[in-house]
Amino acid sequence: MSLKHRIRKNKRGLVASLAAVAALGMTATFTLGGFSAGITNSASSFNSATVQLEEGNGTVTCYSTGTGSGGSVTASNTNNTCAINALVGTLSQVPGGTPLSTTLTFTNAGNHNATVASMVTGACTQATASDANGYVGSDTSFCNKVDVTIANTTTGAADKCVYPTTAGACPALSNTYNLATLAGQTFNAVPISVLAAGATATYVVTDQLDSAVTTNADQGLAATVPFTWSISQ
Amino acid sequence: MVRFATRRAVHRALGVLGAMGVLSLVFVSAAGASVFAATTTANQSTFSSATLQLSATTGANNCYSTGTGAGGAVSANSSVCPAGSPVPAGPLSSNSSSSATTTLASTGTANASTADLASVSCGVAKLSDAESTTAWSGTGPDTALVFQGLTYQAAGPLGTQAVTTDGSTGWAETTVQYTNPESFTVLAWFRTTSAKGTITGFSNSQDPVANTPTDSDRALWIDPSGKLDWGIYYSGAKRDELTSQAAVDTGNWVFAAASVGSAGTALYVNGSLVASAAGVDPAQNYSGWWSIGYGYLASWPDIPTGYYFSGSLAQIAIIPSQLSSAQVSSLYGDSTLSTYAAGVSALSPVNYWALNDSGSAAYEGSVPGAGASATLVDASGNGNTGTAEGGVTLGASGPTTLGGAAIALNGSTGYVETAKSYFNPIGISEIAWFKTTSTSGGTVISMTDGQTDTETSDWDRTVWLDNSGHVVYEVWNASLQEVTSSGTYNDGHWHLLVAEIGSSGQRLWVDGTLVAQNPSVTSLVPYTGYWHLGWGNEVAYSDPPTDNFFSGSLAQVAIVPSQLTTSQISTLFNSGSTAGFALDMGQLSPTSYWPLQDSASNICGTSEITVQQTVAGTNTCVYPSAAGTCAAPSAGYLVTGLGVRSMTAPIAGTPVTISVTMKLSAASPAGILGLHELAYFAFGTAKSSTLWWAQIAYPSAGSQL
Repeated sequence: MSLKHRIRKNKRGLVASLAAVAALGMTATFTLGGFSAGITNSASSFNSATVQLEEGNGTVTCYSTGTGSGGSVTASNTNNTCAINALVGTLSQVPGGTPLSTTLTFTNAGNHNATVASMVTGACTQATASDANGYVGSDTSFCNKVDVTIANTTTGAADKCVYPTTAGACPALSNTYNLATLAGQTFNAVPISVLAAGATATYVVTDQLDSAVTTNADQGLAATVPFTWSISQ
Repeated sequence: MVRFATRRAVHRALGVLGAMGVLSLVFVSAAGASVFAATTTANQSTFSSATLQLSATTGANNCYSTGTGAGGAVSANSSVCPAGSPVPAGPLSSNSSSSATTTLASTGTANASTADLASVSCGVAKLSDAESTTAWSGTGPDTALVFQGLTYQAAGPLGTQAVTTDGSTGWAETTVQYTNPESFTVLAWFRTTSAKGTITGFSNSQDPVANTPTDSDRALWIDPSGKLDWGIYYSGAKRDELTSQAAVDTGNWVFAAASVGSAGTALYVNGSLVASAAGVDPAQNYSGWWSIGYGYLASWPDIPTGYYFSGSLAQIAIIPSQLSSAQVSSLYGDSTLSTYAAGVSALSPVNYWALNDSGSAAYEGSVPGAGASATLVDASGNGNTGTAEGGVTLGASGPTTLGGAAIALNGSTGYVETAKSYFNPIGISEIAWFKTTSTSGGTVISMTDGQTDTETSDWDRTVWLDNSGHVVYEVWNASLQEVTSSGTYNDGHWHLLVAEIGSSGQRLWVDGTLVAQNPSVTSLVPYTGYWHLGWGNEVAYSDPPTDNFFSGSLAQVAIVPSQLTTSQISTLFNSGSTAGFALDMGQLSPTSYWPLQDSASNICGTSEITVQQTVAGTNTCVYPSAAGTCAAPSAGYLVTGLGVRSMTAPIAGTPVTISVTMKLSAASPAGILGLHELAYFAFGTAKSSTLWWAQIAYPSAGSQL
């Protein structure tokens, strides 16, 4: 087909189209009947997944949103004020007393599998404990006097001990491993559990006031270590 | 297409690295903004320790184990209570008993699991003489012993303390006899408002109160007009008495100096010569004793209306020369204690009683009128009493960190034999503080089948220093088993040794450190034997000392029926006082415990005592141990036998009241009546680990006999 022929044909099409439009206008004006069909994709949307972390100790439950189960998710999705005490210690710990332990349960409450998980320990800080009579020990290295181990007790978890060793069962409490040596570390490999959507992991933190190196000067003191648990897409 | 290919490669990389924990985190962290993450931080993870605290209340006086009141810093948690007394103040009577009550309470958050009370040392209070010369045939420091109404640490001159006498009963008797002091000067600071009493005197009766002297002079007293008098009895049976022009009973501190010698007599008040006489020389020749706060002055012209001084006394010294006016004036011009003391010291005094004593230091020597004693108390309560044999001196200085006393052994004849025999003690710890400079060795502790230092056929469990100063521990398990420290300890310093034998092996500790061991030796050849201190049989040993006898000092020796842990040994080594060591030792339930704080006189062996505890209305007799209320004190239970006793630990809301009841034995010699007995009471609580304890000691608490 030549270019001249194509232009001529298009002109004929334009005329026909205008005629058809005129006919339709006459139909609308005069309510002439006809068939039609249409589809609207009103459910067309793009949904993002959720990666949410829930931490509990049987009494207190914290959510990474900081607002309880469900709710608004901010950009950080970080809850820095979880009221769980992973070290348990109340004002009753004496040298060589019964070891304390806390079971922490973590759940990926989102719908997307995590591929990364970590536990980060902050610096160990020392303060006075709130003895009603105000007795405060004079030791300035109290963090070194609290022995600690952390184990992953999740069923099926490989290599159970997180701290002090990262493989096998945790050793018995000893002063070799204490809050001072635990502080400021990142644990992001096995045996930290990487949580699939809806999956749960449990960790047990065990601590004790050491029975060998503690002195009278360790009375009425408190040692605090922040524990930060994270999962990522 | 390039962008698409890059995104696909990154996605593949994420999949690979996802299983590689560390690398994944690094990667994800680097691209953190592009992933979903969730984080919780348990920032309230805190471990808190408890507190173990003890308070003791006697009358209106509260004491706390921290030593700082309720609450406050906790360090040693072992305090000295400056006020209050768990024992009756006395005077004790042989006709009736007297009591004192102390309430112990737990003021911390943790309850103690054990508690004990201790009195492992006993003596009489003294006023120390800082000098130790042999002038006028004297020997050593002329320690003064305190009678009745003399109290300590009143405000004194020169910013220091003074003793106060009540003008009716209080004075101090000295312990060294001198032959005819001539050519000397007496120095004294005093303050009084009473026109009576003797500041210092000299007589041929050591106890001029009980036994009237036949010779007495060299006295400085306040006459009935309130003036200061200085009296010398001199050749030709003449009395010379100098008197100040002005009264001195003004209530102000007065510095007196009085001398006699070739220059005659002289009396100075506040640095100025106020009276003198020539030709008063020599003073009467006789042997006698100085007295402080009392002097017998019958037949003198201006005798005081009473012989007891009423007021405060300080800084009394005897200078073996007649001081010049310039020297006296210079001393009076000293405005501080340090310059005054230096000035006195430069004059080579025979005696210098500073009289700033606390009243808590015991005299371990022979107390006049009390008789001698060589008994060494077993404070374990098991009656394995020691006896000092041969060259043993009681009342030597104790371990530096503990204070208190020790025994000194001469290295050739002195040792301690013990009363009871034991069959095959195993699973034990032998404990002793020792100090020596010997280069010929010497035994600290041993066991033999003989009670004395001879005739033995079985011997072992011996701890000695070899000639080089190594500590050696030997036991016999059908063959000789010796372990030896690599270090040497004959350095003249105090050391704590612990020698153990039992299931944990043969171990030797010095100053809290394990210095030698043989874990394979856990049992021994059994026999029945006696413990010895300061002597042992080292025949057939591979590294025997040249001297079997110990040359040096021993203190706080014990046999404990267990092998001690590192922390238990550390606790003992770090005990900061004799009371603290006794309380710590009490936690170990020793089978024998010789603190070696004993007096050379049986001064405390005449005080009968009972100790009763009351817990929630229930009485239990702690000493002597019996159910229910204690019976009346009796001759069978004396202060010297109290030692360390277990008691119920006070816990939160349930205090324990301790009642101490005392009575003077009918057999008490008259010469000791009025002396200040120090029983060194102390209370302690502990957790079972003994790492935490709380202790309160009363070193100044005592009873007037």
